[in-house]
Amino acid sequence: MNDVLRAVLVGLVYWVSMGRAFYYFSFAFRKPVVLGVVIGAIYGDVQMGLLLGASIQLMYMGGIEAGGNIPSDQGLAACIAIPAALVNGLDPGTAVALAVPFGVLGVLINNVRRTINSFFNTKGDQLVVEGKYDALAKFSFLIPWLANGVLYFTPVFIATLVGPSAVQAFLDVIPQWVMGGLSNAGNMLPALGFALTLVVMGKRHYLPFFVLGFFLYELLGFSMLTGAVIGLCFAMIASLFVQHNEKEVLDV
Amino acid sequence: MSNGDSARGQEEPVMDQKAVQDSIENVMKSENVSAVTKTDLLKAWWKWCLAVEVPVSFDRMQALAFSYSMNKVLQKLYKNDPDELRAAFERHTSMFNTNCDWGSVIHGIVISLEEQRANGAEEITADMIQSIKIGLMGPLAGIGDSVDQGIVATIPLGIFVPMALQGSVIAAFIPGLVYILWSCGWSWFLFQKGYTLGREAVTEILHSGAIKRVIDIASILGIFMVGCLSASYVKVSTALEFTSGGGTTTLQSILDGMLPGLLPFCVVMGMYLYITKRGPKYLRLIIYTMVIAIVLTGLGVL
Repeated sequence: MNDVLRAVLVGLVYWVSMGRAFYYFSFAFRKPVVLGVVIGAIYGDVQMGLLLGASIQLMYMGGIEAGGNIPSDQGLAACIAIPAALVNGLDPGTAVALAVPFGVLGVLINNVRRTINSFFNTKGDQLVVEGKYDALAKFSFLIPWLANGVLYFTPVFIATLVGPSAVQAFLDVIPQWVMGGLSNAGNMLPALGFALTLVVMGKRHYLPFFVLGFFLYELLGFSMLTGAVIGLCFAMIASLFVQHNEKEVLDV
Repeated sequence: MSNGDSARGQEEPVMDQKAVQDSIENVMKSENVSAVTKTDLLKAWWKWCLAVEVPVSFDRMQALAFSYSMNKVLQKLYKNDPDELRAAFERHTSMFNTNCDWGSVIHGIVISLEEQRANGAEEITADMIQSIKIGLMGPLAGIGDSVDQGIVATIPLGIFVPMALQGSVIAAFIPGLVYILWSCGWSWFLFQKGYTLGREAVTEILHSGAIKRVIDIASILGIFMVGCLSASYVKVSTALEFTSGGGTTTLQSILDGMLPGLLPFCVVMGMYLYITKRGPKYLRLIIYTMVIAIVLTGLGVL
């Protein structure tokens, strides 16, 4: 198998793993231990691929992607480090060390994807106004998936093709403060989704409950289930008073 | 068919008994003309599983995946009422984010509510459907993420990765297989459960006449949970420090002493005010945020 074909295949593997079509499958597929076997097969050494993948997997054993926020991109870490390790005959320890920065870089790719996807929201709004609901369906899955494909395929294809040393050099070129700034932006941007939810719900006079939820969580740091129980109690207490008031108004 | 529910909002008068009775009869009659078939449910479920994380964006998270799942169902239910159809698409392309398999109970409930609304149950308002979605998505994400990723995905890895390290190829695939079987089975179960429960629960609520109370409770719960989720996901802290007296103090520690989480709170409220004042210009907001974050990081503020 020539190098270009291999790079294409590894790029496609990364797309399938992080493109997230059929989420349950892609979630299971993007585990480094699974990717190790697949990439090992592409490079004709399943056993070595499995060993490298399982070693990288150990590092990512307990990573929870709360709310879809990936703490580190296991898929990118595996798809760049494993081919590099297979080509250069690196040992698993070195492969793990090589994987770490790409795991972090993958979070940035994910943030870029979520930013690009905002375009499809705007497009979707327009299609709803025009009543083109079948087109809306296309812009909800197929087209975002293909667009994400370009975003995911390209870096892995290039990285696999030009080799690990060139990739390392490229990473060194990006100034630290730009990387840091992007990751800070990634931490701030979820605020947009929540702010928008508040606007959509449109009940301005309930905003104190937002403030209450925010600072209670900030102070106590409970689980979301606990939060729901507390929130439900507040809601029921508040509704008692609302009803009480209405009755009074009616009586008078 | 009612329209402009959101505009009517809180000023809605206390419902009279006659209207409630009529609407119960409508719903009862609608049991016989049920438009949503098992096949429709299965297709809507599959589309949710297929698309869920694909169109995820910062501003509306899984909104498009939700509308993708609902697309054909809504078109079928509201085929004779273009205005209601558009309103339905507007509410189901708004912000949504939850755990993929546990959250599918919401889809079941929403389909059942939309079906009854389409069949003439006017007490099921757009606000109510929206509030139930938002009120449930946070708690389900909380339970779902911790059970799925903390237990179902992690424990099999703990068992089988050591076997993979010893060279067993089969062991590499078992954790993933466990996860896929669990999530497909559980999400389809919850999806159906939501559909049947939503139906019964809503009929019951109509009997008790406590709809407005449910809407209030769901709205408050939803807004409270948005507060908790913001505090959990939005992370901003300042790196500024200065010397005072003998040692150095960080600005962040002073802020934490005043009010923990002040900066993330200001970011959320700032965006809220921007959207209410300037309209929903999401892309512009995202670009502003990125530029500001990079500049502030470069200056050493963040």
